[in-house]
Amino acid sequence: MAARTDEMVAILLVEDEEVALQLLAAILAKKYPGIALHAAGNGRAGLELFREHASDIVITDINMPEMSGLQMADQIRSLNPRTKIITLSAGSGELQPGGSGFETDYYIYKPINFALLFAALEECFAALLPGKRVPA
Amino acid sequence: MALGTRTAGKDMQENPRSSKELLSDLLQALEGDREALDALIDSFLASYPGHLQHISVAVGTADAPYLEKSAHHFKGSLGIFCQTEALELVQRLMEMGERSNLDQAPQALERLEPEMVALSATLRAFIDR
Repeated sequence: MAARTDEMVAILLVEDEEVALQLLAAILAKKYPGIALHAAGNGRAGLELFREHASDIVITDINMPEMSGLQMADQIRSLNPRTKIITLSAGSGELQPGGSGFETDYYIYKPINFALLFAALEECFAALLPGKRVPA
Repeated sequence: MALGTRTAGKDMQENPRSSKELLSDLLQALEGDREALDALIDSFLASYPGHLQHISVAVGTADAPYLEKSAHHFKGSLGIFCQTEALELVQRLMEMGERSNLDQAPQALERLEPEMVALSATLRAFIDR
């Protein structure tokens, strides 16, 4: 993983299932070697990492112990409303888009179609402030 | 401010792929890095008996909230490698927990165990290939 510089895009990945977290981290690091990637296993740890690294994009599971992905995302938005948020969800039994009164930018169903995740990320990269280096 | 949520990927829930197809997709997403995929499979093979154990305890003690939670947690990693029978059974167990109706849970668990043995064999064969 590359050491972060100010113009690098920083992505925060939050997922409580260890294998899923490892997989997403490995795939994102391969696809976008120029990003600064940080990973956490629950919403509370994710929020701490966000405060530390001011991530541009947050990819998060919803149902997690300690603090859910939506609770975390809500607090992140209050810290920085420009942060792009992509939620990953198994769907059944979980909050649906807008169901919490909180809108994320993208809501991607699990199992993850990686082409859709990459497309969502590339739209996020394009929407980021000028001066950010979009990862190759 | 959010522009409004865009949803995607429901089709993969509605059109499940075989484990071999999923492995092929994962390998492509990892840009052909077999070593990385093998390491992920190893992690899954090491962790899934613990997930099954949690589900088994929940069923054995008729603990519906614990069944919902443990099945949901397992579904997160299982769905990476399997979208067919085993995933459907875990989904069903999770829903039984949600509804607090565990009447059919022992039978579902009994069916899940051989499905997991078969999935493990498929994953091990992929690593050993």
